[in-house]
Amino acid sequence: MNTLQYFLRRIFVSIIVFFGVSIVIFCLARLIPGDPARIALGPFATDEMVEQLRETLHLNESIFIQYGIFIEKLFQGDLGISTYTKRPVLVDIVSYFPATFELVLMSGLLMILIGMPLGILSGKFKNSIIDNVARLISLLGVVTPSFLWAIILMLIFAFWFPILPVSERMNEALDPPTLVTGLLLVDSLLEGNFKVFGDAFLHLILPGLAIALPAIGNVARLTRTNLSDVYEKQYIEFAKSYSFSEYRIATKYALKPASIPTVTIIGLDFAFMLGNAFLVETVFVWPGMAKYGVEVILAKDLNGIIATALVITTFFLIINMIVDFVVLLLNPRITTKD
Amino acid sequence: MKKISFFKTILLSLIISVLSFSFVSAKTVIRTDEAAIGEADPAKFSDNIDSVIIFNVYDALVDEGKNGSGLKPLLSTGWEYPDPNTLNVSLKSGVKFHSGNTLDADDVVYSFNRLMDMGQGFSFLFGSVESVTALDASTVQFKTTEPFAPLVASLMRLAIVDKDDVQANTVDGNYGDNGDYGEAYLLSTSAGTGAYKLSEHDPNVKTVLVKNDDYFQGHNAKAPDEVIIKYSVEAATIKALLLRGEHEISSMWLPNEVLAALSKEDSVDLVKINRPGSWMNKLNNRRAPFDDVHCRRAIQLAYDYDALYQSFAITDDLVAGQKASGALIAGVLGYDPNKAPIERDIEKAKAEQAKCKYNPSDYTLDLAWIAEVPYEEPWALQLQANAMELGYDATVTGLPWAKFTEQVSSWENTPHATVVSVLANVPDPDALMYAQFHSSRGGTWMSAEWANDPELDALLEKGRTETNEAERIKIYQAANQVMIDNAITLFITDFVGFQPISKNVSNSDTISTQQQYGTMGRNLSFREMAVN
Repeated sequence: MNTLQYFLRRIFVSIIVFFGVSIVIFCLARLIPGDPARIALGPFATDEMVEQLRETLHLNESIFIQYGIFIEKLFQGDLGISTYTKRPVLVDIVSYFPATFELVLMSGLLMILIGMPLGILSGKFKNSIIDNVARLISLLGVVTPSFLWAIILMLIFAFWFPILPVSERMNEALDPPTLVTGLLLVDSLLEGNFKVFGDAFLHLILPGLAIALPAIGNVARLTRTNLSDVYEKQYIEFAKSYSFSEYRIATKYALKPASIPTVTIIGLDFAFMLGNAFLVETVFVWPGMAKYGVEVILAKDLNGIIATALVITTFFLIINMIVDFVVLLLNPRITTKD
Repeated sequence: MKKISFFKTILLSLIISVLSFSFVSAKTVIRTDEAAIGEADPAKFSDNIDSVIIFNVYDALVDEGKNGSGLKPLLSTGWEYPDPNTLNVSLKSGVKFHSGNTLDADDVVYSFNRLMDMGQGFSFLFGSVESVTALDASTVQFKTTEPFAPLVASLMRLAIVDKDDVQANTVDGNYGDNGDYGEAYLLSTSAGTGAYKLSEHDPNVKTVLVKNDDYFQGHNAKAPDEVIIKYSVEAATIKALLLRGEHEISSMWLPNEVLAALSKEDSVDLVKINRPGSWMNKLNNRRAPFDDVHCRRAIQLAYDYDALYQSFAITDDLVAGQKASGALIAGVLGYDPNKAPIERDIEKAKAEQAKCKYNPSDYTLDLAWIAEVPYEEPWALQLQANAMELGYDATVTGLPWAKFTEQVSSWENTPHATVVSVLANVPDPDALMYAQFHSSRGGTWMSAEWANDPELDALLEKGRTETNEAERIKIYQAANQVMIDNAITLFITDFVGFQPISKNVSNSDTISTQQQYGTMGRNLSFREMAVN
């Protein structure tokens, strides 16, 4: 099996997983107590209006027919109307996804830029003071949930040293750039608007860091462990006996094999961030999809729940495929046959 | 060294850019927040934040006067009853919608039909209205099936939309010839006459209002040019933003510990607001043992109102509640501020319990609170403790709202007592009492009592049809007394809210606007506020 065939097979399997998840979410969403039509229209709506909405949402049909209608519309690019925002769900997703995606990209970047060097330092200087400090930082990162980091960062940068913005994606006084990708950093650069770029970047720092810190701890700890293992291998001793420089040994012989498990974890953490950003988005008034996802669950907005879950599922599947591809590149011993 | 200088330069430029991005615009802004989700369609609004938006963007025929001074004309010049079943309302001339169109009677008829056909929001207030017709361009006639005294007060909730503008933007929909009744259009656009126009509306994120410079009543000279309403913001974030001067008016839902912390800050004032609403522990009147009036009286007398009141304390001086004296609350017609609050008397409670036909030890009471509102739990636990004093066993459950609204649809499944808050939608006691306590209204979250008291029913029916205000006050005060005597429900406290506001907007204009209106959502009238 060549690489192309391997990835075609992975795409095929991913499509099956996607539909499997859609069935599970479709059924689970209907187990939440309460009538979605009554919740959507409020306590004062007439019974006739509630019944009419139930008809519109096909809630009186069997669950099999409801799922059939959902799939049929999905192929037409129609995710239905959100009973929570009263807008097409697709409009909601297009509005909220870029904000969360940009935030997660920032967090992912911070996770790699801080987590890996921290792990490398720790692994390289094992059992030294550097290692101890790095391990302490990693441990704090892992054991403290993101929402607590959000509050701690707000305490530091909103109260003690009020130097960073703590709410929304950009300053309300600035005009947003023309919408192209929905990512403010990209759109502002495309427009050549560096003021908005700088402002949007500053707004990303605190929420990005709050989401990234637990993952930074994870990545640092894993990198340290793997690097330590690799440094104990015979071929590293062999390289040392050849008087290769420390830098060469670290970058050419140690880091590459040590980073394979880390890459897998980075991929998974990256995907997890998308769904786990809810509380951080709430704390930093971030208009993202994670917050929307929880609100639609509370409001039993069936279309909103399914759409959000499927977007996150798709994100997971894509990230998994990218991770597999990167691991394939990093480790020649793994073949597509494996 | 060069590297260090480079990083210093970067850090310095970041800090400078943050500081320079602080609000530099010449326009004045008020930023506030509320729980999601904001509804901008005048035929669908029903909640507190919806009301704030609609009162600022749309106008109704009548308005609430400040300081409980009754109703006053807004888009109308006055009204009269040619007969008990007919109300004629005359319109002001020359009032312009945001589109520039002029208001006339057709707009009122269209707005009413739109509200009733869509069957949501406050349409339930107009169930007695048989027809609405335009007698001429400036007179509208409302015909009711029976004399209906609360009609004028209810008109506060009939927001008038621009018929021509909405019809021009109607697409296919569920309402026959009326298509979607402009439902999609009014999701993010305003078609009213109000002091502000809707500039941006994302129901899950924020709503932005901009000043309507052509507003027929004008604005305070220092009224904000723009209003930003943000949804579902964490209390810690609101506190940070208020202290940084990046937020002007908080919602009234901040936890007491945050309010206590803010009360010590020089840059923030706490404004006390009496609101027309109350917390109740709704007793199920049809389920044993509370289908016996003596059992209800016993639990009413056993409930520890002092302990409940203390649970609302923010600091030693600030208490976010007021002891209740029945169903009539401040801001509503008939409320008597001198009426004594209900008090606990455990000896009388035990004496009443002895008269009850049920033995308390045979019953396990199921007491509920709404799971989404965790601070309700202590009030349910307090009732549990007091019920045990009478010999009952009792369980306390946090019920998700959706489950509660489903359970309450049958009296057999409705808990023995449930903590619920109720707000007056209009300053008329009918809207508050009939919907909750008339025997025909059981089965909604508001009427979890399943009240079934013929004496109370008779008074509530009489109050609806009596058009003399002085008589109505007597009727509703009598109904209030029946409520207490027959222990229809348990009153926890009347609402008192504390709203933190930044010094940027703390002045007599803003504070009097916040304090002097009673109807839900009316007190954030931005055109009357001032930015310092």
